[in-house]
Amino acid sequence: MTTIKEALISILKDLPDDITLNEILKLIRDKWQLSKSKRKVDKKINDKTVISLKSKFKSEIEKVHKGIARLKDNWDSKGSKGFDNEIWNKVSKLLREILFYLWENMIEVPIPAILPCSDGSIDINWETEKFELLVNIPPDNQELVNIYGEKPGHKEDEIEVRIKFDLVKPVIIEWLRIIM
Amino acid sequence: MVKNNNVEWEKEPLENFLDEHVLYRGIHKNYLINWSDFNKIPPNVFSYKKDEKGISTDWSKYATPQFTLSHLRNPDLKDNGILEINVGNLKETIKGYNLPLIIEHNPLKLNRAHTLIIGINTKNKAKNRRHLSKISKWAKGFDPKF
Repeated sequence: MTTIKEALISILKDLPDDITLNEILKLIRDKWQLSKSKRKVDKKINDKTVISLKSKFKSEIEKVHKGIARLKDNWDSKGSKGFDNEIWNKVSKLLREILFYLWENMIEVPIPAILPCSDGSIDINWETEKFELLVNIPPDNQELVNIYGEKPGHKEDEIEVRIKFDLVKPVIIEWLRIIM
Repeated sequence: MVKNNNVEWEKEPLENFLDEHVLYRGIHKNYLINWSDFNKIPPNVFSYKKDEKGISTDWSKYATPQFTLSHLRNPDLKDNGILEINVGNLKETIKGYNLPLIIEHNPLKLNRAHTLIIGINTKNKAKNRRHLSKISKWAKGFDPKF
């Protein structure tokens, strides 16, 4: 794995004169992450499969939406919180972006289960032979997203973080690229 | 121990929860609307509202799956399933994964079996719920019938 120092040396030697500090930092981060994730991705799926997966996603997500949308307050008979369009739109957009990105980069990840929680949050849940990943999206934008993932037999690949919603997509994509 | 006309039960210590005991929990069918594999338990069944102290269960020392079902608002397997967690497995999982979970007997006036699993919060809920779902199964004959 490339260290930050090695990434820095390789980048600095080719820097243009007018580059900003933020651009340098981004280059370093990208270079380091690129090496870390060993992006020699096998061509596991072809373009035809990608089109098929996208089509399946659209029909699945419509079906799931119908189920979630009908859950109003007290849907578990114990005072649970119902779901509005705001959280649904957030979850479906996030999932579409993550899956489409991975599929377009030839990484086959199945469509996860989208599950209602009694506090009004939504679980995105993958349980596969290769990995397990649970992402809990809270209804309140101010609350952090809780993520836990593991790859069976690889303790070093375990992930447990609480992050802002904006960071969820890159973190999940990066983690999946590393462990797949 | 019974006090005051059978309405207050003594809270029992953790050591009374034996490895062979089981905790039962009623699960409404709506938790499973997007879940296809009924051989597994999804993690969302261990979510709970902010005003609750922990995950409500019934202790097999004083309860059966039928007892737990009968205490639900709509005691029908068409609307609910009853899952169970073996106490020995729970203790082992807590230790093995260093989870902050605690089994706490929390008897209610009308439910001596009532027990909470506490320790899940906004910081750790994904990991803890994931592990709880892995050691849970439907109580025999009380899997959802919908």
